[in-house]
Amino acid sequence: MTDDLGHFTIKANAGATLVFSSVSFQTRELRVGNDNTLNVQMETNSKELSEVVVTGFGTRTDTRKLSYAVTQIKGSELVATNNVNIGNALQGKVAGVTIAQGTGGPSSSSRIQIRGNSSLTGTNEPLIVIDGVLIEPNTTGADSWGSNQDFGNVVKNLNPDDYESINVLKGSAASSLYGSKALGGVILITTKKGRTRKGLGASVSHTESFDKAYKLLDLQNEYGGGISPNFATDAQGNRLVDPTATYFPVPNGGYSFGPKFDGKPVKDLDGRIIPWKPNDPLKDFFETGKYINTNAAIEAASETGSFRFSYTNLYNTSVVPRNSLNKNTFALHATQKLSSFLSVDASVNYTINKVANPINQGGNNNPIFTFMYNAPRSADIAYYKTHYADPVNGGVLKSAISADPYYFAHSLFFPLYNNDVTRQENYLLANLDVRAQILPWLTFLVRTNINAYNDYLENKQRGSGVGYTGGYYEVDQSNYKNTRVQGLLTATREINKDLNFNFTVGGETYRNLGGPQQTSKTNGGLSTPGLFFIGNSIQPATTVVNYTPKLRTDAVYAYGDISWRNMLTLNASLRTDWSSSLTYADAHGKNYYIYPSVGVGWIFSELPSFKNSKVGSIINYGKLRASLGYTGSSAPAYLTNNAGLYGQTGTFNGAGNTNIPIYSFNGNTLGNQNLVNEMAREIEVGAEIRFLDNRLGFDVAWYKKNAFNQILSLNTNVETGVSNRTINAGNIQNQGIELLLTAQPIKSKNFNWNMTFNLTHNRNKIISLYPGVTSLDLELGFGADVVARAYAGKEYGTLSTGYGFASYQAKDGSGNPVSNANNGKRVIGAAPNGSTGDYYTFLRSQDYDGSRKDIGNIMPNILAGTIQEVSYKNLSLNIQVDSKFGGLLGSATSQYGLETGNGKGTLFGRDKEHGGVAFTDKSGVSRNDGIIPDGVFAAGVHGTTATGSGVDLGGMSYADAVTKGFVTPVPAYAYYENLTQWSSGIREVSIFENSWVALRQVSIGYNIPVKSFNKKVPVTSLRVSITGRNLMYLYKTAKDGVNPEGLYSNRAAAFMEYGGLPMIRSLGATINASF
Amino acid sequence: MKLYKYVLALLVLVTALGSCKKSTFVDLNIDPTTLLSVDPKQQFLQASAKLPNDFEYYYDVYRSLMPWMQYSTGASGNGSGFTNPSSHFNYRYGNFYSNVGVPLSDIPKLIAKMSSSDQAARVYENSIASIYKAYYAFYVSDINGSIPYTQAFQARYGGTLTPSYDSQAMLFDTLDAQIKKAVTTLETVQPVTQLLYGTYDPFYGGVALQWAKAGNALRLKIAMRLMKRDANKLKSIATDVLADANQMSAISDSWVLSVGSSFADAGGNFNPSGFLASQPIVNFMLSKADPRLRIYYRKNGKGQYVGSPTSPDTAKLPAYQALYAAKDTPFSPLQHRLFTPNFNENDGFGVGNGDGFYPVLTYAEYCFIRAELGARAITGDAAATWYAKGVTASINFYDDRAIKAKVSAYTPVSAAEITAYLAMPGIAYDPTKGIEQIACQAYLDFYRQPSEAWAWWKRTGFPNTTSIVPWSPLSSNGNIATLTRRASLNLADPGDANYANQKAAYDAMASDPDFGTGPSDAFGRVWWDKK
Repeated sequence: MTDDLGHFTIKANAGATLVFSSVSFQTRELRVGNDNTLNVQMETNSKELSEVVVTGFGTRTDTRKLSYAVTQIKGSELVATNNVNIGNALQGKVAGVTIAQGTGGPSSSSRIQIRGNSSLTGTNEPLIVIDGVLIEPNTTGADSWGSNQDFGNVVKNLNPDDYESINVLKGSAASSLYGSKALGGVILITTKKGRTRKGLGASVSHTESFDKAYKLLDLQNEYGGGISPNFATDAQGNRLVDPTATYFPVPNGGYSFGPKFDGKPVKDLDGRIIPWKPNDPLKDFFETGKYINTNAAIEAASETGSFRFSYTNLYNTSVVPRNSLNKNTFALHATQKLSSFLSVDASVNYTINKVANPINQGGNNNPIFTFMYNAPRSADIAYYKTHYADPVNGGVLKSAISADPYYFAHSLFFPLYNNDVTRQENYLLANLDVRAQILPWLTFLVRTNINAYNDYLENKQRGSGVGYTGGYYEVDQSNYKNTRVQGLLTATREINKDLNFNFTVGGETYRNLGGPQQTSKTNGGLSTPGLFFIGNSIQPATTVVNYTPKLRTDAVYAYGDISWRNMLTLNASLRTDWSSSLTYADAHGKNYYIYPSVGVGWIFSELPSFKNSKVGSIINYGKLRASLGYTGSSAPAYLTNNAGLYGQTGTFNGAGNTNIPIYSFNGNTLGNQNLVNEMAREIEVGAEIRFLDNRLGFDVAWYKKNAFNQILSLNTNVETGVSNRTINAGNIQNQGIELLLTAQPIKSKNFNWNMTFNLTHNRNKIISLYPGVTSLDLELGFGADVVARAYAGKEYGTLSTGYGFASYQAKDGSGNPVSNANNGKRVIGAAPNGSTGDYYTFLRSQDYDGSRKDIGNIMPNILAGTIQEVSYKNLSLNIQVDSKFGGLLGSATSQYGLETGNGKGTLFGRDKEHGGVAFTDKSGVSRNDGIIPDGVFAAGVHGTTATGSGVDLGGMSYADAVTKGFVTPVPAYAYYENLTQWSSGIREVSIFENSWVALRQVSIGYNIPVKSFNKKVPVTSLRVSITGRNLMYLYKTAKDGVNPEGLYSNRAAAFMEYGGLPMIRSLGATINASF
Repeated sequence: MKLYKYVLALLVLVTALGSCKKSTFVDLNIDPTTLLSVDPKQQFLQASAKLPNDFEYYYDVYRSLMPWMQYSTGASGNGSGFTNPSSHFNYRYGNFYSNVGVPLSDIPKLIAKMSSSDQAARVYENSIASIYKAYYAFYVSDINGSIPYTQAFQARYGGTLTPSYDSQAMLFDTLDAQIKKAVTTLETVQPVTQLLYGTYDPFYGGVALQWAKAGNALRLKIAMRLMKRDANKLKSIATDVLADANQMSAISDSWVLSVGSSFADAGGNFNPSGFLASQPIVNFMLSKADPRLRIYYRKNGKGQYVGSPTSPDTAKLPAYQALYAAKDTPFSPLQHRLFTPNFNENDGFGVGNGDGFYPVLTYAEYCFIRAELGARAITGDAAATWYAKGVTASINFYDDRAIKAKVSAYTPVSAAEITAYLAMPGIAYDPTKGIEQIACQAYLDFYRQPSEAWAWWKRTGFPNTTSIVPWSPLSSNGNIATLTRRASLNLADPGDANYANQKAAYDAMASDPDFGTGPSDAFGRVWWDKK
């Protein structure tokens, strides 16, 4: 028998071979030498289900006792992904978990959704718990106008090198002990401890990985700038680039409907002679990103104590110039048994993370956006990358129109190489557990921890004026601090041979202590160019101080389980929260709420009658489980006491430039004096069956989670004087299935093949909102043109827009709808805000009949993934493929690529070879780039007859009207621009299903046999591995080559891409050594 | 076992924390930046600052009303559908209910919560807010017809969440009575020294009698809308108003919001860049040497004033298309700084730092109302006199604003110019064409109030293609392009909380066949706009 630390004694002769095996570890064989002590380090075998997982408040629980699904992942699996963000690293590994990667560079936060969205207003990000410290990741990223640098949330500061295991608690039964913060599930992390060994151990690992931008949107490489198919020439005979290729014309420019590329010289708009060929943004702009991670750890352990100290440095640059992340992490985890009565477990983690210049996720400062929208395919990116400043006077290139015709210097390169926006985050996590063994069966634990976070942002902008005048400097500092003190009294007793129980009572107080958030900035430019300090402001500098909200939750709870014959386990919990944020200023109302959970696990394969049956000989292990859990939650801080009151709303700039601060209502939301807590209920049933000597296993879970009484800000009619009111309302349901299949087709001493498949299907439905309220807006896209909504009775995240194609409906004289063969066809007419070339174009439904339409839903239908692991002796191969099916993505980049003619989707109709129709335009020019829109004219739209008189085209198809000579075909440039531009575009064109299958990871590892080394090198293990990550999409439906994983925010209902980054793959090598 | 006790004590302590005093929680949950109340002047400034809405300028003013009223055209002329109702038109509706009306409705409530002595000192403040609120309600109803008013803005005070609609006829009566009451109050000496908004009143700096004048002018303005519906009421209101001593008598009496240079930032939606002067107006002003030409528009690169044709079919002609596309387009732009004083004209003068302005009801408009009342013999006013006063006031007003806006290289208007202008044929008052002349001069004055120009056009039929100020006939693909007459209204979803009230109001409006084919028919008419 082994003791707690794994010690045991066995008698064996020298030279004998000992075989070590243990559940969930790979079997090892060792020859007995002359030493009396033999240290055996066993590799866990991840493919066999771990028998012990971390649940509840960090306690290790035998999986046999669980009544709900828990997934455990080893820290090393995350480390192997070579990714800053553990959210990204989790992708495809856990059934029921949806990951959406961020696109703002290494710091960008990813969206982690566990079993859909339970909340309509909160973040829905899971709670992360590291050694008992609670971490609440927030949402970051751009708003619906796309322009923002994403410094990411706290997840980027976590360091998987120090993690032993990661447990994902998905259901309420598992997470309800953590209270409201766990509404979106819990990611429970246990850091590494020192392992028992002789003397001091050390380990070093080093990874170098390289990121390569490999795929941009589908660009057309046949036509250059302008809208005329032929070049004009100057007096010297130079071919001239069409002026409509430039960024500057009002309203639009940057066209790529010009002459065909021929590689021959042309005179560009800035007067330079360049070859007429397309640019290559991947080569001209993007760089190779580097991921360099070094971890060194020393550890030791004895029977009475252990420690592990580790230092990790991560330096990560992205594919965008000057974007980097530099993270230093120090971690200490120590345990000590002070006496037979008292022991301590302390861990401290300190991270200093410096992020520089994250990419702008959209807008003019985003490279992809600017290449797609502001400039034609012929624009010389490489030239402006080095020629953005005025070489004589300093500052940005002067006379933008003639010197910087594509605005690259102004919008992209000058800011890129002259501005420096950095954010340093200092992050402390510290936990102390003091455990008293009061009686052999009774322990008392006091856990105290702190999560302190401070960030410091500096924004240095060099002036773009002559001599670098202008400029800007800003310093932001924020502080956050949470503390938690918890006490747990636990009894563990065996009542008799068949019955034993665990029971814990405890309580805690959790406090967000708040802290100042200060912003200081210069105004009117910098007095001395190039010097960055607040005092260097031309006009008086401004400082604003806000405060992070304070919050306190106190709780008492009791939980436990009772097991019968190691076969049937009943577990239950009960928690009561007192929440400061549910407290009113006059102390009325109820600020506490109570919620329980209960579950049962039954290992039916332990039944003697089953064991002895025929089925029992095939099924080694069979378990059924069921649970019911509730999770209560509170209001956002201050809501009960500030809605409907007053605050500063702005400043009035009066005559003579006097500025008066204005104080008015702090919002258009009506408060509510009767708010109560929210409550979520989750039912889960599942089964786990293993066959054939554990070589084949299934784990299936079905769940249904309903979140009731959410604290929402619901729309009211603005005529009431408020636009929203705070209310307890709604029933949001997530129902789904998670399936995990594990198999071991080959199992032998030298050759092993393990595979896992996971599959998730979740339906996120709004059962009800509130009487008189039919929908709630969740998230905007394309500015405010498209809205992701929660409609009562429909799925979460239905996209609604008035900017979709209008649908034709014939009407009789009195305006009643009548049947007509053309009903339902797309409608063509005059765009109310004008159209390019004044051509008729597809009408938006909102402009045709005032209607909005629902385009579809953003939530994925199915997520599936597989991991295949093959090992032969010391060599191993690991392949991960994951996939997502269903769910819409909107792309502004697609829209802009179509508008300017840079996208490949605009080739049709440009000339005869591409299907263009020949016609004579209204200026009398013969063209062959006509497109005939497929649609029907709206009532009241007019064409002109040959004699110049008007004719009503209402109800006629465009093709018929062309045949009859009432209208001309639309030239390609106008067709595409009118279809997609800001003033008349149809957003529906760039909203599409986003399904994909990704080859997420391939890695090859080799354990170098250490016995071949000279004894003087005290290496105990040495491993090298090569990992390729995000290698390619085996299948994708995203239109126009849009990056399928390009969301600009990790907000729950984010559904838009606005430039972002190209598709990026990484390839790297790691070496691990232990001493 | 000593430690055992200690541990148990700790447990008790931790448990006790869970049931800590509620007062601690109360203190924690108070946001330090929340104010429990504000001074009424704060709410008045908030409402004043929200008078112009940037989206209203972007869509309603620049992209709809100004081109419809032929003050301007788009960068390459007007498109064939430019007279069609845009789904973005009518920003004033939301601006009233979300921005302007909310703080104005709070002022009486804030005052009511004060001590009786404080309340007595704020009688004038209450009246001033009442006049402003009446104006904006009128402005909204003017193109929307029936709107919620008497039951609106009550949610914050425990009132209805489903306000019923006031018909326009009733609303105009309500507003007239409301303004009259406020004016009378402002003219009555109060027993207690009155607090006034002072610098928090960017219209009049808190001068009570100025507000009385504005109130009187507003009553006339609203009453003029009744011309075809209820001539008797127009007459009785006009007679009542003119009997009052406090009347506008100088351009400084104009009801105008004055703002600083960055209020309407040239970088945002207030930017009128890309719009061109209109051909009919430029040509008319050139022919009459109208001094406002140099205030309203800028010269082209060659130092000339050239207008862009307003008819889509004219703009489409290849000759014009070439001019629009030319790098040095000959068409005059709008006078940017009259709209956004900090506009950089790229003419070497850099970013401007003058003052901006948003007229509500100017002295010139007041004069033209008086002139028309006289010309129609509704009052005994001398039409010719008030007409000349109106033209003079209009020129002087815009001259003053151009100077304050620091229009680049601006030459102030001389008195002689005005005299000469007033003597021009077509400008000099001719009683046989009095109403047409008054309406056309009011139209020229409404350059910065195109919505009011629209209303006068609906009421008087001027300007038109044959009037003294001649509009171009608008032809789009060979057909006459007609102008809309009201906002396009959307009927709410039947699941909407206030659906029943809205439907009842729309049904009532639709009982008049002139309302149009349905709520969304912008070519239909509201109640006052009788055929």
